[in-house]
Amino acid sequence: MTVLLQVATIITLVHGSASSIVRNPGRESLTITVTTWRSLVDTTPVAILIAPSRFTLAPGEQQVLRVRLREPCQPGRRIVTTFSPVPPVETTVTTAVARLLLVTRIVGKLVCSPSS
Amino acid sequence: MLALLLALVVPSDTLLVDVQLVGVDHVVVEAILTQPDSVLLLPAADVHQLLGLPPPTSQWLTVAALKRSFPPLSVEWMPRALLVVIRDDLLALPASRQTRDALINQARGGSPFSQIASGPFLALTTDGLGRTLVDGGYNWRGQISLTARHSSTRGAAWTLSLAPVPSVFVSYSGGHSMRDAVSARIAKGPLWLQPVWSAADHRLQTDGLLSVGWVKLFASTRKTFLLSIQGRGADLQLGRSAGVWASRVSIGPIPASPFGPLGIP
Repeated sequence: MTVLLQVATIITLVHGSASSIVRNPGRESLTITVTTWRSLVDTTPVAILIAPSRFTLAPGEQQVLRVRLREPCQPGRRIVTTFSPVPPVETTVTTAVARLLLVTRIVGKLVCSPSS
Repeated sequence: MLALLLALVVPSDTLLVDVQLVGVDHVVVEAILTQPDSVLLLPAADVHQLLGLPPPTSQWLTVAALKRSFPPLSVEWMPRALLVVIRDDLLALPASRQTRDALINQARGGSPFSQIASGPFLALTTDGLGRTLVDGGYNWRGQISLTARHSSTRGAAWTLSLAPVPSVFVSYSGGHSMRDAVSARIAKGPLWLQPVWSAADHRLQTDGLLSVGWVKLFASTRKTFLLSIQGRGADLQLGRSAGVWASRVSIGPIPASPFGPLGIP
């Protein structure tokens, strides 16, 4: 359920720019990477500046995300946000450990506003 | 120079940072965050334009350099919000002064109905001597207002005010015990004008103010003028009114009004 409210699934570009907020409502730190796809079947990145494109959020923290398109706005573009847990640093474990990391990826839409 | 070297040599991230000059304007710029020391490099040209400063000689500007150049400023970098907030409470920046001056020019001699809500209004004033004053009328979005007033001492009066755009205000008033009068206020760019015509003497009186940078010149058909030079933290004024010269020097955060006349009451 912590996936909910982490990131906006639709980001509207006005004059090629937009801002949004990425949150970490969970109980562990997350490393977040943001990229773009041209469509659901074409994962080539769009010419766009994403700032920041990679960052880490502690539990409860949030980060403003800004994007600025470097090409004409086209429908069907996707913004892909990947949430990866930061592995805990175990200093007391001396034996082999199997660790399962659950990576969450949210594929949202980049929508062009009529004025963009 | 150091900022440029940092940008060229040190690994960095490009960020879209919103630089806000509180109460004036904001601009979203492409800044650089150097790694691993996290020094934010702002594009100096964009920031100087926002602050109303002349074009810079360097390409990049740090928050620390901005604080050093303008000690009265409060500059805060908030990485999580990608926001740089600049507060200029002492009006050290040209952009702050221009915004303040524009507001004063629009307010001085302007519409008293600055609110945008529409509707009828009524006000009753009384005093201990048994005198009363009743104001009533209708205001439409602060652009048109009709006011009727009845005073137990001066009788009835009325005023029709028009403010079609923020830079223009026209008022026409008349009444039982007063002659018709027309006044206007025009505040556009560096110019402020206030012509007043009264049926009492059939004369047109005009006050005007011209602002060019730190220099402001007020002149009136009432044979009054005032020259104001507003510097950073200190103001100098020289004026003449009713055949008397006057001057004023002020230091500190007490902005001198450029609207004359200047004198000692």
